[in-house]
Amino acid sequence: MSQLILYLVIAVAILLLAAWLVRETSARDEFELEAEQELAKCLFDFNCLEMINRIFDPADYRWLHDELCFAQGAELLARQRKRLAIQWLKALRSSFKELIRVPESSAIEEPPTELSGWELLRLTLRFQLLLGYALLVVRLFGPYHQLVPHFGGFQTLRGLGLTGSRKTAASVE
Amino acid sequence: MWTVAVSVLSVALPAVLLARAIQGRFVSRLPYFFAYIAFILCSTIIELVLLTSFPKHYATVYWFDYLLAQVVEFAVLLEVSNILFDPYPALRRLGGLLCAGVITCFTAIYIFPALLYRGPTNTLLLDLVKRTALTKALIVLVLLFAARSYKLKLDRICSGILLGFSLYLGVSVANFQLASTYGRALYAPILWYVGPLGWILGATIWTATLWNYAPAAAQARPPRKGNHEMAVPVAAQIARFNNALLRLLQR
Repeated sequence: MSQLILYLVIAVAILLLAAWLVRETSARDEFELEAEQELAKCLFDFNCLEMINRIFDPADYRWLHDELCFAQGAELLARQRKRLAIQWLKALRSSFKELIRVPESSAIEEPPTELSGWELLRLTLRFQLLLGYALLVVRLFGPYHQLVPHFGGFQTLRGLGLTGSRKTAASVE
Repeated sequence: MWTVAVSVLSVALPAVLLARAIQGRFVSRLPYFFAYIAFILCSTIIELVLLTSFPKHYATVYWFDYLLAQVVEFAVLLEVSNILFDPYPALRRLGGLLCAGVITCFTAIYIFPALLYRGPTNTLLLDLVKRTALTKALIVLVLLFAARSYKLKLDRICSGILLGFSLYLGVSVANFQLASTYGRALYAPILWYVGPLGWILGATIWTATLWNYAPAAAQARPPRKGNHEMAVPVAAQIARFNNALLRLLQR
């Protein structure tokens, strides 16, 4: 009998979940999308990248803590930087999702790349996995914690066969 | 009266759906789905003929058709998953990957053990059909969840087909579990009446959805005008995101 109840609950859950998932995008979702688009515009600006380096750089914290012996101020700074780091990582995630939502038909004529659909998907999933990991580490240990001891296996993508778009990729970095 | 109504609807709905697709010339857009509908239409007609003329062979043919349809439904879901993510280059293979993942995992740990069951064939069949229905329902939910999490705009065709499937599969799971629990003698008359109901409801949603066919690409998100980012290929932009994150991780 318990199995029967379990399966009946599962059946009802299937129907409710499916109905909830296919619902129209709400006004709130649309508002969030617009906000994400605004964030995406300045994500890779020089000033923004400088600020990000500053957020994850422990130099200011060490200066306050070690040289000025102002532990309380240093802790406050660390908390603020942690909040900013999480916000930036979330903005990066939103911006990435915004990028992959761009349908192919609307993009300007793309030069052919050597990346197959599977390779693109692998890069997409890898980015999301690493971002999830980075968010977890920053949430747990703060922005000054070394995120990975060694990431030898994860080379940057210049050498990953992006021949068709290498020039463009290099120019936007 | 109910039997006549169910029989008429079981033939009329797929027939109307097929006729509309042929008239609108969009059969080739969803080849597996319409092959499945055609198969259901033909098998229903054959079963009705057998039921009235050769009732002795009805059960065998019914279960053969039913099990074949179960396999074809996996192919239909795979087709819908491809259509769902096809406009987005970075996610084009995601649907196939999710379907393959769920099918592999659930076949190994959930469907295959049912085949090892030693007991009455009826119980085995009911259990097997229930498990495959649940696996397919999970595929539907995983696909919808993935589309939702990326905030993709679900087009009317995909959402209608997936919603119809979830309705049909949800009713099937409940129905076959009730049949397993209460046994053939007690539940068989109810199964006879309720059994086709799930498929009829699903087919009604499919007919309503596909009545006015609109291609998926037309409903995709428009590009942001004046944004130079659009000029950069998606692959290069994904590389840039990965590099930015890797630099952070490796600092």
